[in-house]
Amino acid sequence: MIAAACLTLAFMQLSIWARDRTRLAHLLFAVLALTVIGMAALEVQMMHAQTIEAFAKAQRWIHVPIFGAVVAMVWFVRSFLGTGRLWLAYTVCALRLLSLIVNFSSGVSLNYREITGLRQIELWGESIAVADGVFNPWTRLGQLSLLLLAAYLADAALAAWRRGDDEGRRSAAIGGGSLALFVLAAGTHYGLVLEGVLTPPYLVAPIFLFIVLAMAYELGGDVLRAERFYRQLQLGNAQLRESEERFRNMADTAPVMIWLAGTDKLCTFFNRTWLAFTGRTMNEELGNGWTQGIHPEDFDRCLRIYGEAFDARRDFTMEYRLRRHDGEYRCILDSGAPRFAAEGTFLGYIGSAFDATDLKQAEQRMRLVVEAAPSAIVMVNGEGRIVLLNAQAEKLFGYTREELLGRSAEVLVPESLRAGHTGHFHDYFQAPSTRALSTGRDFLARCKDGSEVPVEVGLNPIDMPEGMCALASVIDLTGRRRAEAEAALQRDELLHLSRVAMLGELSGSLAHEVNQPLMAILSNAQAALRFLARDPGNSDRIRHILEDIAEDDKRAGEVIRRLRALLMKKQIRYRALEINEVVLDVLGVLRHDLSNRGVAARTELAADLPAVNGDPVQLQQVLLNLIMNGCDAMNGALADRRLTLRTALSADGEIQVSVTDRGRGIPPADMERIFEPFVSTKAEGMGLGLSICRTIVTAHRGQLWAVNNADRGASFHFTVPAERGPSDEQPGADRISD
Amino acid sequence: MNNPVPTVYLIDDDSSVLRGLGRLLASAGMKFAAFDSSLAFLQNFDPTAPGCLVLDLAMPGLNGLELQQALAARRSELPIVFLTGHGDIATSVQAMKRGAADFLTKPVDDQALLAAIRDAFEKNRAHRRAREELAQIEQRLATLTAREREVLEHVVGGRPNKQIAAALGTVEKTIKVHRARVMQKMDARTLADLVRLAERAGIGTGRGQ
Repeated sequence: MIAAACLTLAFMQLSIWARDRTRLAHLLFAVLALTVIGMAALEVQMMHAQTIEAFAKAQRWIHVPIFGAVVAMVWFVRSFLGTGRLWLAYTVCALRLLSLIVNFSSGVSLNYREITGLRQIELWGESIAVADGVFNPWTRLGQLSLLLLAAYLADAALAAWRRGDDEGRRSAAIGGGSLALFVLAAGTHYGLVLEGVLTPPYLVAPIFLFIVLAMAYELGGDVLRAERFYRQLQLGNAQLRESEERFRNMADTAPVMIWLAGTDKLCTFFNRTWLAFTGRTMNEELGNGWTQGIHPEDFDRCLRIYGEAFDARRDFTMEYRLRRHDGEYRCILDSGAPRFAAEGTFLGYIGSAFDATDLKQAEQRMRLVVEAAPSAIVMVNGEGRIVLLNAQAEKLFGYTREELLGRSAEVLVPESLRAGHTGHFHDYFQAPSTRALSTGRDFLARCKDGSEVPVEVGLNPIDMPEGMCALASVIDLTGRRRAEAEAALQRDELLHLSRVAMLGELSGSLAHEVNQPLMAILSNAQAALRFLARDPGNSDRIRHILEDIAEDDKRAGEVIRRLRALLMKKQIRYRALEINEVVLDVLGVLRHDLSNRGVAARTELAADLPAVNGDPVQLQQVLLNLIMNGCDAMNGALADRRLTLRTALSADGEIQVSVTDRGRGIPPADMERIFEPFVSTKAEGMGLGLSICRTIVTAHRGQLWAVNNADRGASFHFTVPAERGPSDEQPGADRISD
Repeated sequence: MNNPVPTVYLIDDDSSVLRGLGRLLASAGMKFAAFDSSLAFLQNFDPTAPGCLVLDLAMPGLNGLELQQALAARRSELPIVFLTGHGDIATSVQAMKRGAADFLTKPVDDQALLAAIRDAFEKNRAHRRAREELAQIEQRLATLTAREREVLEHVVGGRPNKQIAAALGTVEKTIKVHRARVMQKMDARTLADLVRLAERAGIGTGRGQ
């Protein structure tokens, strides 16, 4: 009966295994069932043995199916539950194998060393044989193996229990746990029978039958689950069809063009957007049909990219021209990605494409705009790397585009400025704003050849998709600087020339100024020679003469010094100076001219004036101009030709210099106009004098203005700030330009 | 008045120039007087004193040219040697037109200056002599009677006695007497002498015609 049941089960499981070779558990179960049949047959033989030999033979051979059952059980559990300690599994199998070897090599069997006799006992109305003999100590080996097997099974069941879900737990409890119990029971029963504690018969086979049944239940559950799964699969297919429908609907309404390709690279689907674009039918496009629309020039490249990406199962993006329904080739940006099933099977490709022509044109336009920009443009990303530059930038820095793209913007900064630049750069991205990088001082850019160019840099933050970038527009200031320098030079030249012209007007008086002392010197020297020739003894007289000569010589030298200062073309140099000294110096130069014109100059110079910061020659030029203008204004006057020069400290700490004449005065309408260039009230005036004066005074951070006096004539006043100390900022030469 | 020592009048506003020039003149043994302005000179001006002016052109107050005019107005005979710090052609032409003796540019060499002064002295001396001579002639002319003066004018005009007698409505003999008296009063030994004296006094050289 047992045999029949087991045989049925064995065939069932074997057939399952035969159909699906991966289901090792079913094979092992079949083996176990067969061994149980063996065991049952041998047990029956043992029970019905008439001789000791027959009993011994059956008992010896029963260990073969037991070995088979143990091994099958061990690997069944491992295969079915996926748990169990491997070393324990091997140990159990090895011990059982050892038991089998011992069984055939020592004594009668593993159990008996020697069987002394057989006796018949009555069981359930049947007489069965029971052996009496010497117990074989090697039996303990077999028992140990069974004990370990039970431990192995229990451990495997526990591990499966801990790990598994409800299903898994049940499998673990029934499969692993029951097996362990049954093994333990079988082992114990067998041992007790051998010990003589229990009476036979051997009930190994029936117990194993329970094991087989337990296992069969489990495996049967598997079959049931398979059935359930199959039904779910059928339901799934329906759902799948529905989702495919949904996909098509979605794809057809998507604004992008969508295509699908199978594993053979041939296209299997195009959405309506695609078909509307190409104006072709699905059948025309399917397979390789769609490639007919590719622009011939792009064809090879396009198919190469597609094929290569396909073979490598890589994502790809390519750009090609595709013929639109109206025959126009449009620029298409096409991206594809491989599709995989849940278990990882490659299914083909899915791709989307869109008409990027307008985008490309916009991009092209943007690039053209950047290229056409008159200044050099460099875009730098958050890491300080150059990501974009235009032709002007190439020209300015002397690098080609390829040399700069991706490099740190620091290569464009002179080494001396780099430390500061990195800090600035960092700060900039902390608080990006539109601003000039080079405010105030000149900023230098470093070119490829190592030269440094003065530049003005404007920064604009741009929030790009790849992060914050800074757009720097760089303007080469070399030309501007040169022009500025030239303008400054011309300005200096003009000031100098007007000074020279003014002194030219004074040349007569100035020659007189020099010639007076020279006259005195010559007369004295020649007189001395005559005196010496006539009366060599009179050294007193000679000494006086020589003293006079020395004095006159110094005087001539002083006159020449003053003229030299005015005539020389010196760089403008600001320094602390006493304004009263400037006034007296000018009067020294003009003294003779004034007396020639019959003008009496009077000075009212304030004592203890603070020093002013200025260029003495330029301030003298202003005074020369104002004094000569004053004299000219009094040309017609017959009497009272007085000119007053006054210095004073104003309330707001400025030093004010005034030149007051007693002349015709200034027509009120001309009061401001006279300071404009080329405006003159004099017949032979160039009209530059006062405009130059104002330029100079403004450069000294002062003011120049004119007022008519209450009674007669006009007064010109100008102010110069008092020097407040060495920390006070020097007025720059560039300020003349305003 | 016959032989007084001529004086150089130095006028310059620059005291050191004045001192130097003074020393030079002293070393050359010349008599000089120094003034630091035109006005100072005018206050001490003696029209009869011989000499010359060494005058600076550019000066406060009255300048050189103005002083020249002022002296001309006072009929000064003192020649003027102008000194100037710079050669201004327009000024020098004006000065020379108004009778400047010389126009020198500072600094001037002693030889040139002294020579100019000597020339000026000479000029002054000649001028003074001519003026004295004329005064003498006019003194003599003053002694002639009206008839004698008439006869003198005709004689200097080169007319023979007969014509003069006819013109004056008298006889030739009377004319001869007048003529001899004129010769005597004018201290003229020959007719040529008489003509020269009359010319110096401005008589006869075309003025009579």
